[in-house]
Amino acid sequence: MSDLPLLVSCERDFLVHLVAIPAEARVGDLIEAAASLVVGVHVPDRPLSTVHIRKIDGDAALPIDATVTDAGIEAMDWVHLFFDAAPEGEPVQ
Amino acid sequence: MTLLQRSDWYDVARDTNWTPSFVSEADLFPPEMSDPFDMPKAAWAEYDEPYKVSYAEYVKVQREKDAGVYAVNTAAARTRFMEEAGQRWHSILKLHFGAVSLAESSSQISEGRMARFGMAPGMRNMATFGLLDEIRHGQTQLYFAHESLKHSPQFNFAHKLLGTQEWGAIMTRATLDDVFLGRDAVTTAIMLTFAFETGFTNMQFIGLAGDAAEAGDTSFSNLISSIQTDESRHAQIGAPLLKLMVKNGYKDEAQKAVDIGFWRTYRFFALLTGTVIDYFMPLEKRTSSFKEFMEEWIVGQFERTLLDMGLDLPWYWDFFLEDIESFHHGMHIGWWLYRDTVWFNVPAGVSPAERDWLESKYPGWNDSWGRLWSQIGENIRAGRTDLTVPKTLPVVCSFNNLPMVTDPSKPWAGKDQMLTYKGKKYYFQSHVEKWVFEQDPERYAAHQTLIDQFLAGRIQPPTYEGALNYMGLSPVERGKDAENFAWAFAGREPRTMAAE
Ligand SMILES: [Fe+2]
Ligand SMILES: [Fe+2]
Repeated sequence: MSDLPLLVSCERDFLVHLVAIPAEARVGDLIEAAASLVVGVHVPDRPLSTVHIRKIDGDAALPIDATVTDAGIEAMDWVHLFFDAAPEGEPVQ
Repeated sequence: MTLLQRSDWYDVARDTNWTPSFVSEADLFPPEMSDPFDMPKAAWAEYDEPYKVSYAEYVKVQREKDAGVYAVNTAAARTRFMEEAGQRWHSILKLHFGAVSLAESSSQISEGRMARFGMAPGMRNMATFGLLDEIRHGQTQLYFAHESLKHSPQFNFAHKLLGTQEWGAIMTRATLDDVFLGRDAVTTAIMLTFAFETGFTNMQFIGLAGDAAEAGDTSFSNLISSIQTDESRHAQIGAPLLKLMVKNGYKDEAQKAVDIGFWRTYRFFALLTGTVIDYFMPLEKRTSSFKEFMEEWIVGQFERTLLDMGLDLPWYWDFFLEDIESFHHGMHIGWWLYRDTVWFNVPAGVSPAERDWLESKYPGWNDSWGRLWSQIGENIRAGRTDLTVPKTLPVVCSFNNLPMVTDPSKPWAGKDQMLTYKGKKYYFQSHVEKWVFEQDPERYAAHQTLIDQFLAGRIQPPTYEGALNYMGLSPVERGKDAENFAWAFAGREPRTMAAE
């Protein structure tokens, strides 16, 4: 099965990365692949367990154990990484 | 026999309109090349060009201008200056020559379109001189870039860039094709000479000539000033046209062309000028920030010109005024991170003193863009320069071809940035790009951005290195950090410097 190209942005970052992920990969794998481009790179390092993902135009975190296809992600969708709310308040993006 | 004054014969002599007998009027001036609005002849008769020049006068003045440009460029002095000028100035020159030389040269086609298909003789006259101007602009800038080749092979991109698939080249070609080369004479006059040249480049060239003088680069300063005097003349082709359009009931058509042309060329301008003013220029040579430059020279002047003409400010004006505080910061950090993909060395421009300057000019900068640079600096100091090298491509706007960016302390606009058209998903830098796309989707839908080309399998191997080769960048041409990461260590204990 060929890879799904996706648009991925991340809280506190400034750009959108192109990330390709196998359709049968889990959402957790996508989070890991996407976070490796930003967390500890453009924004401070943090445990993966505090990183979640949602569609850019949705609020709900996608379930990490579902496959990306079952989570409703299609080729060229835009997904967004976000963090557990920092003690000082809400996520900035 | 005494010679007549120009004013005694000009109006009669320039009036070269006649009724064609071998072909129809519509064949001589097809609407798609000339005037798609089919404005009445009486309206066109009102076209009154503000610059009245004869060919003999033009040639005499241009000859003097060229003599000035090349005379000052005594080779030895120039070589000495270039050897002493820092990397930052070299980068500004490489960026300028690459982005501008052939782009100016290609606007011969735009001037040619107006010279042949303009419905008013005065417009055709001015555009004929404009065409000759742009030949000169292409040639002189290529000459200077060529003279600089001995200092770095990256200067070769003055000639090479537009023939490559480098992302900036794709962006430049798409912009030129849309607003300058692929339009009728009326729309070209509005989008190129009014929105871009009157709106942006005229002032930009004055600013750049000043910066060059400040940096001690006399010959480049003279070159740019000399070009600017031509631009300020042929930039006035559009104004009399807009005036007659407003007066004769074509305001909506004129306004729409202004709104589209201004937005598309603003992005091009912000990328080139915003980054240079706020990051490339050595701190001690800076006179104002990009935002201050825009507010003082571009915004005020353009607002006055539009309103004087009976036009309105573009509908997105408030958004534009906010955008000049953020978009170019994103372009700059993008350039630095993706420095391998450009033909000049990119200065980070974020030493501690420069960060203070940025914070004073853009309050809140440290908490937004500065945070990203802090993390990057930490990685460099920890010896992890590998983390500053991208692993994948950024997604570019389907319309403007530039990486999609946001102020990192502000949310993305999400839905306002996306559109599905005939089953394909399009993503935009902002709702303004999306609006332009929606005005004429068939014009834009088939365009292949770098990302489209990548997804179509044209980049092989489909890796970051594969993309660099696809873009035509040989290892010696690819950009590096202009100061070998010294900025990350400035003001700190001396340590082993990272090397790039
Ligand atoms: Fe020019
Ligand atoms: Fe021009």
